[in-house]
Amino acid sequence: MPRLPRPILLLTVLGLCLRLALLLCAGEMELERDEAHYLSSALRWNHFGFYSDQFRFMWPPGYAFLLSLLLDAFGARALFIARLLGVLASASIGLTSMLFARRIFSERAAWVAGLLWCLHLPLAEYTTSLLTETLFIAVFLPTLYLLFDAATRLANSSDSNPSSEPAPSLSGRLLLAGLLFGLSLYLRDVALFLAPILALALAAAARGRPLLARCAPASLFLLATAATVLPWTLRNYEVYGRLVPIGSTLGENVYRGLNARYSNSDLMDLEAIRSAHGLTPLSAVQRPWTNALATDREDHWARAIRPYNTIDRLGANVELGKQFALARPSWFLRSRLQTLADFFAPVSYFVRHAAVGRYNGPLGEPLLVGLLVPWATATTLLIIFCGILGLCTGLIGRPQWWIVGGTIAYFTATALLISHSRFRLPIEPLLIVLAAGLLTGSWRRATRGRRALALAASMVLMFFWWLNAPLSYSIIAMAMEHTP
Amino acid sequence: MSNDNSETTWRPHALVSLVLLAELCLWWANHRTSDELRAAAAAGPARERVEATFILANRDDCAPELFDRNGLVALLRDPQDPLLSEFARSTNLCKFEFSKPQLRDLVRISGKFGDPLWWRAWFIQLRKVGGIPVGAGTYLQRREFEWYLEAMAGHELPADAVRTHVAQELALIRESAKPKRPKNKVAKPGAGASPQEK
Repeated sequence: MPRLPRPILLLTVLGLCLRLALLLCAGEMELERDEAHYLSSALRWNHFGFYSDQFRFMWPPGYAFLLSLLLDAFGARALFIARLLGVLASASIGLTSMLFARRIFSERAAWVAGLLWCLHLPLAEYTTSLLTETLFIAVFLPTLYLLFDAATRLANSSDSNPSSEPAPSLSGRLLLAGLLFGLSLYLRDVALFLAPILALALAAAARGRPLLARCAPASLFLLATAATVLPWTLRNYEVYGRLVPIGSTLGENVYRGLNARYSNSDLMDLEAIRSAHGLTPLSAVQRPWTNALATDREDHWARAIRPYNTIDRLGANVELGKQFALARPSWFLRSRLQTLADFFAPVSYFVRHAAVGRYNGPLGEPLLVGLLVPWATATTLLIIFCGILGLCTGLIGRPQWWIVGGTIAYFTATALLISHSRFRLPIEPLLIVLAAGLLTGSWRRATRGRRALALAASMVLMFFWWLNAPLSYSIIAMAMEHTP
Repeated sequence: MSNDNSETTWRPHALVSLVLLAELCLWWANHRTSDELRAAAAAGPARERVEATFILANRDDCAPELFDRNGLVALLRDPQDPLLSEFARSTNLCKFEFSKPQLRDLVRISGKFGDPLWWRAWFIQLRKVGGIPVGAGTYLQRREFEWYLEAMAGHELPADAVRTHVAQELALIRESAKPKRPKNKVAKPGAGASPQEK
């Protein structure tokens, strides 16, 4: 294995140190909604000996299982150890981001990507929480890199007919990629339907070969993924009598995303605090466009409480949401545009947590919050803006477009259901890579057509930011004024 | 995969297919029919009874006839092991009767705030995942988590602190159970309950 350049290793260590400092400064925070659910599921797993039903969701078991192991081993300290594991796992995110940047752009781009990864507070902040995001990306991103590497080799060997890659090496990479991808699904099932897209990317990269040889790498990746996911799929079949790979969260997300109220998970808990402090309700500061998305209360549909079978019940919720959306095509289009705007809004969990006063360690001190909230907002703006421009100008060739562009498109599409800045997280490392490419010269190298595309994309992004400006400003102002 | 001569070898595919087959065989060997589960749920060690009941309560149509009020109360008061009554308070069974027998039972055995077994019952009843329809209260807090670990270790809990905490929680539950007065609600002709509420 080739040795990694020293700057890349140094930047990884710097990123780890900053995240460790963030973890120590955040303090022992009270549990948030999903954190409480994960912990509750883990405690039940330990107590009863199996993964209990969750009624509203069917979350993948990975994180609850990890927590249950840590609780067994460390007791109450397990919560800190789990967050510490997140810090350590984030090294994989930083390292892979830099390797991506080096492979797609240049050595200099890798250093810039490393710096951005170190300093992008909203991404780092997740290591202080008991959420699955950091671990998921730490497993998912290396999968993407392995597939990208395999696709590039396939494309190169297709272009210059004889293969330079010995078969065992490529097979090993694809098997490892399938295994890691399957493991990432145990943490978050959202990436499940990305598997066929990634397989298509491999098939597209092997263009020019006979059909069977073209399908071989893609099918090996899919088989390895299936072998990783099958045990839990069969467990689901044993328990529920239904074939569900890994988990199912669509029903609950449809309830929240395709319903009469405008639902934005970044605004949770903020209204109560604003009301207590005599601040204007967020619903009153929204643009008329956003406000008009809340339809009549009479239209609101409640979650199904029958049938008893959780998978069937979640399916019933999906059906109710589908009926709701089909009956309101214009509302559906407008609300999805709003969700897209929310997806690219310059808010983050760090800003939201500062706004609700979650940090009870030094990180919650007004001086530090006053410095870090603008910093977090600025890096978010920079990474989204430069990342989108870099996406339009920097990617060349099928493997880059299919794997990097396809992944960004996929996660953007899945986030269309419900507004939540947390759903943007899996693409943030890729946006960092593309931003680094832009900052090191991808604009100069781009053709005129690509630049025009980038300008058009930046105009759309500006529109989204304008649409969300009152809400984003209110949240950022709350965090800055340290309202709680 | 392609080797140096651009030939495709399917050996890795065959190997992974064998792994898939082995996983299927393993599942098939451990699969239990509903009748076997019913037998295991009726008698045997508490842990195995709980596991069998868990699958019966979730598989296919969830065997609701087994979990009527009488069945739930019987499990709640089963003297064999506290694990059985604790499982009866979990989401798996509360979905059938919407947790009313379980909540009544919790009130029946209240007054033992320092008792670790009582705290375990309270915790499993009210700090479950699934929301109000399955009798969950508000979100799990750190202090409650620490008390739970203490209770699991069999230690007595600070009764006064637990009493105050539980009183606050019950007040919250009572508040959320009160019917909400609709604000500026204008009745619309033809507007009815959504299908799932009927």
